[in-house]
Amino acid sequence: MRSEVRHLSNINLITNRILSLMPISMTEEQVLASAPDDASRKSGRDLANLQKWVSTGRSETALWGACKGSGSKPYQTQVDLSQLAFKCSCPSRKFPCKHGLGLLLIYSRQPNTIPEESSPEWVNEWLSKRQVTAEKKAEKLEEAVASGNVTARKNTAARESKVSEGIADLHKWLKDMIRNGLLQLPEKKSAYWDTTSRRLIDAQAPGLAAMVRNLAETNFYTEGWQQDFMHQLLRLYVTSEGYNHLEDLPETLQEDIRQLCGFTISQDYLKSLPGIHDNWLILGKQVSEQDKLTTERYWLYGESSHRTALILQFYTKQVTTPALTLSPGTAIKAELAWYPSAHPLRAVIKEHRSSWSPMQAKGMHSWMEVVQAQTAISQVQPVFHDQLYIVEQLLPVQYQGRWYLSDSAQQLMPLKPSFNKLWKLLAVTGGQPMTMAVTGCLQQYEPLGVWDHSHYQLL
Amino acid sequence: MESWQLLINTALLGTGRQALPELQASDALYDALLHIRQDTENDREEVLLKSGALLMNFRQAGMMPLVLPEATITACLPESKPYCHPDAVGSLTQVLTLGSIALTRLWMEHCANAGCIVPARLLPLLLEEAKGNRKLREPLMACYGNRGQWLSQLNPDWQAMLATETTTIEEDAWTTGTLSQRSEALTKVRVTNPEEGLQMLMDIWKQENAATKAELMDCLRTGLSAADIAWLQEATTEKSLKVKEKAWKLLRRLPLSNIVQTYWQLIKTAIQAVDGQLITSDLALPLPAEVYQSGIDKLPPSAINMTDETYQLQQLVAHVPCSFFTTYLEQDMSTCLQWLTAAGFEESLLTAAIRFEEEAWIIAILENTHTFYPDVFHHAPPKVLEAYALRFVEKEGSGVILRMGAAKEEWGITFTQQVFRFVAMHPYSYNMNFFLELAHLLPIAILESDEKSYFGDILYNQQAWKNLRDKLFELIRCKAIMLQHFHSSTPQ
Repeated sequence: MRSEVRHLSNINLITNRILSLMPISMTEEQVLASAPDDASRKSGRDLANLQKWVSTGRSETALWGACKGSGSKPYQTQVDLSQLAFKCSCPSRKFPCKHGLGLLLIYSRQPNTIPEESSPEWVNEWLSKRQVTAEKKAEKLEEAVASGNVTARKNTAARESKVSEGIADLHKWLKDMIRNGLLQLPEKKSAYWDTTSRRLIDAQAPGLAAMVRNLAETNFYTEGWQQDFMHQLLRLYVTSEGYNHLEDLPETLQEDIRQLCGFTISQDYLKSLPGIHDNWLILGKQVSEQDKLTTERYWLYGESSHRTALILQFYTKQVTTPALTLSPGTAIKAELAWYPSAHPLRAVIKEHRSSWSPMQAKGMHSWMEVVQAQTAISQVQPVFHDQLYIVEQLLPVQYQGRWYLSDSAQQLMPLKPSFNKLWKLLAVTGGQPMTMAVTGCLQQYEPLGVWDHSHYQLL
Repeated sequence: MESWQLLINTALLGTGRQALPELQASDALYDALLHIRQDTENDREEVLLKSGALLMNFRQAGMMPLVLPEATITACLPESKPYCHPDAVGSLTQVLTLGSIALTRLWMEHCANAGCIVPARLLPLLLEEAKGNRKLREPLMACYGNRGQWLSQLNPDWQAMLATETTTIEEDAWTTGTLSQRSEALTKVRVTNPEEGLQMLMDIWKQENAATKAELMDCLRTGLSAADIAWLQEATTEKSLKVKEKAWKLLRRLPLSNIVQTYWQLIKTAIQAVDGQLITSDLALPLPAEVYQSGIDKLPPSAINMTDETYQLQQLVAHVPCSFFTTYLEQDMSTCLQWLTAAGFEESLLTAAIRFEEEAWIIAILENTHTFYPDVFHHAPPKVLEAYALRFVEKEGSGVILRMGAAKEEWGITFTQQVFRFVAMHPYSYNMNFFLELAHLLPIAILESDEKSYFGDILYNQQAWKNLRDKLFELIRCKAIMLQHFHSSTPQ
């Protein structure tokens, strides 16, 4: 195992060095898609003006510049082009900051306006520090594997017992709810949900607590809330019942249930798992916020493996910065390892480098293939979330004020009511069927982008 | 009832009231549901939850796409014009980021003039902008291509950007529209066929209330001619004071109307040319009652330094065409102007020249006057206006900037320099938002001019001005890049 890990690390380092020599090209849209929020996008655009930079420079692997700020000294901004990483001396807690975005925007618009020269000492220092950190990480992983410390999970007997107790309480609560009827729920105050959710947190089952919070967020004043609510409620029940009968389940499903309950898996362990090397197309990014916690969901598709992957990233604005910056609409050469699951989707990136790709993908021919794929998932994983599909010849159509995506066999799937890029989708497609990357499950989908004449257009 | 719905209904009411009834299902599913029901360890709630879990999984495993033959969409027609160059699109993105409606409009005009259309992906953003800003609608419609028209048909919020048959719109608007839509429709007809417009108004006249009548009458200002006099004269006998006032107002703009001719006869009694000199005498007051009814006022009691005769005479002069004087006094325009200005009628003459659109008189007055007349700005030709504005920018800066903001042509470099000079001395009165909407008027050449040459030694708040100047110059630079892209790039 030890030699295998070392071998892999060496391959990665060599690959990284080779790939790092390849310059990346990004469009303005792709740069802006990597911004943490709209305010950063706006500020980044404002700074995409050479007049605001005291100096700029670029090499094959990096961009750097000194930007006039409110302080006496200009801010030193650096971008590692090979892995799309940013560093800036400004005090902003946003990541990437407006300076990094501004500099990259200038580069994406007119790369030749930034002079090509040898990188200054402060840039070299940062790049070599990154290199050293990457090597150290590989060594640490190697040591951890060797010493046997990399176990799938710690001894969690005490925690498992607490979770079981939490689930027993949860079941009482669920049964009370069913006995008294769901019709009384719209009148319930937030304490009704919060108490149960907090108990589950105390019972160290944050995943179940989040599912209770989702129930609480139901809009009881929209038509048909009962259907969605019942679905969510039963997912919670199936997950908690699954945990009660964990030992009767297949090993991979056990992993799914544990993760749904909130058990985490060490990143080091995940990275020690064998992965898949591929050219991964970043087909979209979805960002959501809850209780100041930002969740970024990157949807990836392997060009050769045709595998799909979901990279999740969590951070608290103003407190922590995201560890990873991926630019939707571009591709990365990377090795991905998946979380253990009956139907693996969530993954971690072991190593990655920016890559150029024409963003070609092989799609399914119809919705029927999509539902067949979901039937297969249902067989092994009763509770599953949104998946990524590429479907050919999809056409947005309207019926009684609602929008659907119709396939070449005139079979339809509704668009998610929350989908807010409908008009851009219509503008780009013009009423013509196109291959689309969509996320969703069951009967609700949301397009991430379309292939317009072989060019992937992010929505 | 479908099993799933039955399960939900039971859950809604609560198993405390009613246990889950037996669910209908096919063989294997039925057996599994029966097994749950017959398990004596399961209470009512558990039967519902377990049956629900089973049904949920059954449903999601067999979920099928929908079939709705009625769900369709009509494809957009192919574009006949090329898309504009990506560089030009890049400058549009910058313009939108700056938030300048004026530059957005300018961009659209250049795009249309270049025979190009906006790339489809930007259309929703631009249509949304145009929804909230009327000024952008027509320029956008000139460059949004078939895709823009198609999107506007699909989105009810963008109907205003829909180019449809004009006659249909006007007919509908005229018969069933709101008052402002009706006014718009009538004005459009007056532009092309004033007689038809008048007839439209006459046809509905009796059934309208006074407020509507007054509002619609205003539309007659467009295409106003001697052909309207008879009907307007009749309208002066209406009961409503508001309608009467509107009728008189319009009649006062028609040189051949009885009232203007009456004014002129009265003026002739008070102003004469004798031996190459202008002689003015007092009017014989009171004037005929009809003159006062038409809107000529008597001197207010608060007025000082003026006689009632002079006050009323000045009003009369302001209501007859200036050109009447050249024939009557048998002198050229320049002499007439000189005489009448010396007699204290400059402002009245300017008002009359504006009212009767006598451009030569407006130019002559503005070239010679020492007085700042803010109301003249909409009526003077750009070149004369700018020279006039330049003379007053130092003393009347805020008024000049405000009025010149409505100019249709780009400001000259000298004038812009003087405006910047004024702004530099009053930096807290102007911010970037103010100039965002004047961006189309600011000349690019200002970027090249040396600030010191026009600032000289004046005292100004350096830091505040420099902050504003940086932003202003960024705006102008954005405009420069945009124009450069349109001049140098070829369509896609």
